[in-house]
Amino acid sequence: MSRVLLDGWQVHEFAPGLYPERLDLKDGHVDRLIGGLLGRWAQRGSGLRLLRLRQFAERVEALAGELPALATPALKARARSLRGVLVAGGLADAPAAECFALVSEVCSRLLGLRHYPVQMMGGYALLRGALAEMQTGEGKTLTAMLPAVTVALAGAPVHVITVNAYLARRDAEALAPVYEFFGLHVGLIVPDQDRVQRAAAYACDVTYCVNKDLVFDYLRDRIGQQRSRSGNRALLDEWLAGPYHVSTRPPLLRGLFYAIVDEADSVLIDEARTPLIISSDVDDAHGRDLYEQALVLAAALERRAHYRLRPQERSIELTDAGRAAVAEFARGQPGLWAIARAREELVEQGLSALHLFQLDRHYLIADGKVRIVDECTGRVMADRSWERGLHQMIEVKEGLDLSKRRDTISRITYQRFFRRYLCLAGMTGTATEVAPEMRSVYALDVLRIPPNRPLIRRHLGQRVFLDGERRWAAVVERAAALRAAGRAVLIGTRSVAASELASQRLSAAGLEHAVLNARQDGDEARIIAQAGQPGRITVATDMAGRGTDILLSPVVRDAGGLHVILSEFHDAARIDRQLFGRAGRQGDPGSCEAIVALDDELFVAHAGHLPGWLRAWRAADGLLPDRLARLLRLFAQTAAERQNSRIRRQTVEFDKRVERSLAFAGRGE
Amino acid sequence: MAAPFLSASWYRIAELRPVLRAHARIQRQRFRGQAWYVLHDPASGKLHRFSPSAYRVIQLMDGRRTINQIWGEVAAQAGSAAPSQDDVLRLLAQLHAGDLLQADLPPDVDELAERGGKQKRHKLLQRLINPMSIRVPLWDPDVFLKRSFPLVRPLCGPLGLCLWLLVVGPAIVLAGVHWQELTVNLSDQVLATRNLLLLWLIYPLIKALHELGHGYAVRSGDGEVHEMGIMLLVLAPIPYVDASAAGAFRSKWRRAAVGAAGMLVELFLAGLAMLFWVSVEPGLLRSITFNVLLVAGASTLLFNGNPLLRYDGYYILSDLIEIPNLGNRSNQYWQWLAKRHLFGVTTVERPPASPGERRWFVFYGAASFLYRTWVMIAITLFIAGEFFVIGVVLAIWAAITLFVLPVGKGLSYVLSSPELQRTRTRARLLTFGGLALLLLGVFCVPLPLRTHAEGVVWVPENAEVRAAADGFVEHLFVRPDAPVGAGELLLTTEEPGLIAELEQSQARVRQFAVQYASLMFDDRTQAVAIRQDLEREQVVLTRAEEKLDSLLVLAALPGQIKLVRAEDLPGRYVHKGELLGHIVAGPPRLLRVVVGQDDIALVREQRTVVEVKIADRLEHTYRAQVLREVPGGYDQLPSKALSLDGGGPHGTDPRDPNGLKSLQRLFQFDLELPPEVGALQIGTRVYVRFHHQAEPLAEQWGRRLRQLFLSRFNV
Repeated sequence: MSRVLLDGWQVHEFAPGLYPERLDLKDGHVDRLIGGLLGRWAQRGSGLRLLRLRQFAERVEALAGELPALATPALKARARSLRGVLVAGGLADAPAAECFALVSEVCSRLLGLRHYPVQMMGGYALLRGALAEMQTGEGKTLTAMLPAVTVALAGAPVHVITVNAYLARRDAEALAPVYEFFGLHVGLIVPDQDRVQRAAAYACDVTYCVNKDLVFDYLRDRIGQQRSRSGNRALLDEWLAGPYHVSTRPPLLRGLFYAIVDEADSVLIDEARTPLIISSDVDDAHGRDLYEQALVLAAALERRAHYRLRPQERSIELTDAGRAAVAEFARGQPGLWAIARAREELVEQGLSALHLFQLDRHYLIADGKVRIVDECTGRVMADRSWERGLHQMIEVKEGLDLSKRRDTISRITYQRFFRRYLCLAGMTGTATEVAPEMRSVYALDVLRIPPNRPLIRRHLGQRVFLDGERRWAAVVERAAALRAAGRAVLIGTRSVAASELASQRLSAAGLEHAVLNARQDGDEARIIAQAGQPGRITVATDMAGRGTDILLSPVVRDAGGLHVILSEFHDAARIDRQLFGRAGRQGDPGSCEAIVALDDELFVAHAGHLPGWLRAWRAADGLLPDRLARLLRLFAQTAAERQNSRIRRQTVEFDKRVERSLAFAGRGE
Repeated sequence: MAAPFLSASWYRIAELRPVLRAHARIQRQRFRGQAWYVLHDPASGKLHRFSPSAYRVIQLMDGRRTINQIWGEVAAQAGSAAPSQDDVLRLLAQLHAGDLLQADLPPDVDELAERGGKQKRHKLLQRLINPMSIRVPLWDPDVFLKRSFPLVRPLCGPLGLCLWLLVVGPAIVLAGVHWQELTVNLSDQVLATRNLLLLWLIYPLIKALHELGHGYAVRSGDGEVHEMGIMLLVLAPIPYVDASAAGAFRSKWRRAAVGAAGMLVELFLAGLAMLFWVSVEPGLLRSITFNVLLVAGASTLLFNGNPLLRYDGYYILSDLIEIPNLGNRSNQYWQWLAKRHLFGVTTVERPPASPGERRWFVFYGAASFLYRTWVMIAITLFIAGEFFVIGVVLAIWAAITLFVLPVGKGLSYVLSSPELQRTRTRARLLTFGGLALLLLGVFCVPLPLRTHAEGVVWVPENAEVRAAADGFVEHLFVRPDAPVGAGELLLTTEEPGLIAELEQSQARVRQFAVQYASLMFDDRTQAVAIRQDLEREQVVLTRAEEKLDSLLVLAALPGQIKLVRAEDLPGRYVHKGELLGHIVAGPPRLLRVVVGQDDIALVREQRTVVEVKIADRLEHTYRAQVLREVPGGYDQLPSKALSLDGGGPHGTDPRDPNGLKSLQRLFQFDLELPPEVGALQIGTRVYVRFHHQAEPLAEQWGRRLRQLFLSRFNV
């Protein structure tokens, strides 16, 4: 890796630590305000910036013209010589264009796929550290390969970050031949790998990673290091320890150089609400009795009189009467019960376990253990547990064996982590709404790349039913009709429970279907491979929402392609669009619609009293008038988005405050 | 919801082995019956106050125990009052921010440098943020104080107190005796040019002694003083001293003594000055003593002694009532009150305070805020009036720091603070609803608008009996207080010169007439010339006759004649226009009211009802009718009763011997009272209220503001 490369990324100083990463930026309110405004306004000037991208794409096209004539060994030789140029001269436009042309040529030879000009444009935007907004189904996987190869050839380790293991594995395996052609190794980081495998994967030139695994590995590295802020000091310690000193554990990663974040809005925005925490198992001193007592007491308390429940905030608060009741219960009890704050917290956790966390929605039970379900992706999160005794409380509630208590060892926010990359790039289908935040938090400019082929997906509108029953009836009816027409249907649900309810309804109607949710994620690849067959109905939680490419059989394509039914709105319209984006990919025909109900979580949690008032609406077809439905959706999603954005902002603020006040304790992670 | 007992950030400090830095000194102090530990950092001069349980944690920090162990021990001892992990975290963060913590980690130089820079910036900002008091540190007086303290030491004790009483006691008595002399014409004395120069020289000198007083008081308690400098208080340079080391004194009396020392020194000086003032002759020395008396006596008691401003009085008060940091904590308490009761936020914890302290907070917070705001506005207006450009810039600056920033902060709190997450609707509704109501009230709701003026009971226009020409009163035809009819001859005056003039003129007319008659047929040309002379002389004669007529004074109205010193009149020489008396037709019902130029437009154009109260019967209010606006007389008061000297509202030109020439342009109105008023004495003071059409407050204030700007700044 050359100095030129670092200069190109405007890196003048590394953060103290054992490997290269950017210094944490100390930005104030004003910086963020200006960043937000820039992000908002940058959209307007994007035409001008696209011009540069287009010129670059033309340059690549011109260079690519002569390549098909070359024999494979000659192509390899070219790639080798190009590597030298890139290593020495950094990522200038000329060698980058040549590299893009080569990659495109190699792709067409090995995979039979050639890059479109818009993908070249997207690739260039990524190379320059921007966030490329490309329509769903525009082939982001191929696009990411262009800058990944270029940067890897220039000598910097590349991380391509995706949202789930399925996508990471699929991309890594599919693209490996191309990378190997350039003499680059591809690594894969997915859950359930051991340390050796991970270290090997990170040692590769290009590593496809699942976001959470990457961040956890980073945290583990940091724990391994001395808790010291000063890198020089750490090096000195190492040197003083002498040549025979065995350093604790070699780090897994080689540094945070260049990352391409696929589905950037999901990773950088939706998942950035909560920091990532690594914890260690600790024997629980309090034992089962304490939790059982707390649960019994919590169950005996009355709602409103003793505590207030706020489902949409996921919080529970004891009232004064509640506190008195707890104090009464605790009288004469030893240990934690004697301390007012501790016992109240205990009871609040008990109440949360009883009222806020529901089986099959927030967690599953598998092998006698509580497994947390990620609400964003609908996937089971392995090895994850709740904090501060909540996990144990839920285990007690479900009558399971008590697991060990976990104490935080290290934590980091996504916002902090991703900004440490020397160069960060991203791509997604839906970024416009979050452009200000991308700019102000991650310093990512959003560039909207035009689509390659015009979209011919038809949107059949939305129907909001007054009650859930009629919604499912309508969904089943629609699925049956489309199945009869020989098309493929994808029904999106938000939770495992909802997917099972849908499955039940479909079965009752005698419709054959497949279910893809956190319980069945082993079959994911198989189910998706078949989802494009004629007459196929697939019920999926959000895990099928991003990046999943459902290949259509020719029969289905002729019959009108895939039809996506959204059975419940999400917190943000862009996530809805992601699911719709499963239909009509790469210029395929397709259609989508939303069939939802007034008692959905979005409306209940974020529309205040509106659903209650609207329920009084008497309509023969059980439908809300279209205009009203649009307004309601807009209102609820705006409110939800605002709340989520506030939570993210608070996460960042809290992180900063802690960092400031605990500076004496060394680095936070 | 109480703060959680376990902290998510605990892992970061659990294994730390911190130790308090060696130079920190800890004192146990009692505040309102409770023990506290005050940690004094002599290097930075900062003080930190800790509760006993926090102190327990600090005590255990010996560099061998980890934080986890310390917390375990403290929690085990404290039982139900165990501090939460967050409490410990906060404590450590506080110690770290005060540079008092040393841990087994290598110090983070970057962070230290950054924090140092931040503190410096913050300090600079604090010095500059308030344009009314900018601080410029100049000197570290510690060595000087240390060396010179032995000279002063005897005075810091009973001996000093006795001496002080010996001087100040008699001085107070003397001041009482000479109060009249001291205060007469105070503003003239103070603002005379020579005196201003003296004042400028003496003021900083006295204040410097004042600050040295603080310094020695700290020194006498073995404290150190490391900062002395100049503070630009309302652009006037005044020395200041940093006496924060006194906070570490154990006895509250000692602490209060440090706060009071400056004032004691000044009062002592004032006492000396008083003694001198009575014993020396008028001259430069006496002027100097007078100024010392003024600065060291009056200004000290008014400014430094006032606990509502953050000067000596405040520190003395907070020491005596044993509530350190009274001002800030009052503000916090008020904020908490607003959050808890106005916005219904249940998650914020009440600032720790005993019931007695809370009462102080409520009272002091409100009183000092109101007072400070008032003082700021007054000072701003004063400066803005004196120096236009600087003044307006300062005023804007002050308005920003005093109003815009806090209001902005408040709004941003209401709009985006996470604390309000649950009750934001209520908070917004209250804030913006209240704001909207206020604006509605100010801009839309018409409120009564009135102008107040003063006047006197006046005589009707033609009822005055005045001399129409210069002359001696020859004969009085009426008796005083006799009824007279309209046109009745009242008196005659005589002017011997006038009669001679008349006779001369008559003779000349006769002469010209004769000449003309004789020449008319002989020499016509000559005759024409004579005729012209004749005509001219006839005019002169007519004028002389008219003048003669004006020697007769007639009654213009029927009524009762009231003459001024009737018995002296015959034979007296009167000037033309001199008031000789009045004719009273029935009881007087006319009022003459003086209106200032600021109100004249309103009174002229938007008048609805006029109400009058008469000074000798204030319990009644009468409706009056405006007869007319008196033309002219724009700078003459109708009566001395309306001048400042006479107890009225209008200032007069001191050079005017009559004391009637007003400094401002005035307008006069004649009002008529209804008949049921009854008998009135002419010249009685009346209070008049002009009612106008109701107007929203914004319009009323806008008018006043425009007038203020016009009169003050000519813009």
